[in-house]
Amino acid sequence: MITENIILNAGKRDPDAFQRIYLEFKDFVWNIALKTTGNQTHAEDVTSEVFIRLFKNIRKFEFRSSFKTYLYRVTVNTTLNYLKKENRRKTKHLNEDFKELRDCQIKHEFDEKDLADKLLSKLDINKRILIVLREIEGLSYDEIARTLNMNLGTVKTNIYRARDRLRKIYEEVKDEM
Amino acid sequence: MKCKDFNMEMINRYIDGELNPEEKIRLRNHLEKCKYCRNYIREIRDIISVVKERREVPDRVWERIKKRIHLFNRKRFVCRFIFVPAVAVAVFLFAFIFSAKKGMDISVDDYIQKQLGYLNGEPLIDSRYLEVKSEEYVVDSLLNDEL
Repeated sequence: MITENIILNAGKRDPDAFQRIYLEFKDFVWNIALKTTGNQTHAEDVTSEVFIRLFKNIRKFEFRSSFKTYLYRVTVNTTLNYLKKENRRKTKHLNEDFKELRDCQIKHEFDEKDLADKLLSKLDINKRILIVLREIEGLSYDEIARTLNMNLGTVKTNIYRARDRLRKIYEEVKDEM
Repeated sequence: MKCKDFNMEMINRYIDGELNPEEKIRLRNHLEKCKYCRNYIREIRDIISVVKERREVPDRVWERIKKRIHLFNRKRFVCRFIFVPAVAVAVFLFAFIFSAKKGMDISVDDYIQKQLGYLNGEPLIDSRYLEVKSEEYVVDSLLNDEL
């Protein structure tokens, strides 16, 4: 259980307080990162980036929202920024005539992934984040709306659509297997 | 064949356990007759259970975070206790030298000129100073005279 005192101490750069926060929240940050990026190396980059950002900025946390919601928001934003950068990097590589090499790597990655990763990787990023928050992290619709600054109704509709999309992807993947 | 009464919202709320008892009975009655909706619910539940699987963070992630925190703290230390004081000292020295130079109302060249002038018989004291002194002197002498 993370108390207000622990958060305040972490803000004063107390390493023990910060480690307690890491131990408490590492799994959900990791799972969001892993399921959203669909790649272990990327997930490690995102998870460490999230906790470094947290370490630098935790003193600015004003207890207006719950700490969990705040951390979810940091995680989602960091993941999205990371994926944007990664896409730019990939595009650059492709433009430099590495297309063939990249295709081989991507194919190899997909062979090693399990079904869940395969399904999620085919979902567009916005739907993927919603599914991860709802089905993997078990957030309520209300918490998701607050985390993503979205309207509650929009969150629900988008999650229903994302589930439906996953169902269709599942059908396609089953046919490929 | 797709169900003509298919209601995505109702089915999803059922999956989430958000239907009230009346809605639940209505949907269950529909499900008894509708294979499409029954399959739809089963498929969504299967997919959720597939996706739900969680994994543990490798230990090396914490090691990586600790290294980066150490680097960050070192940079902060250098910045706070070395860089900032060094800049402050530099600014102070600059300001001191600049103001000292500005405070000198005579340059080396002028000084040499004045000294040479003195050797040639010119007065060494600034004439403005002499004027002021002489005015004061006049006032003082007048006052002394009155007394």
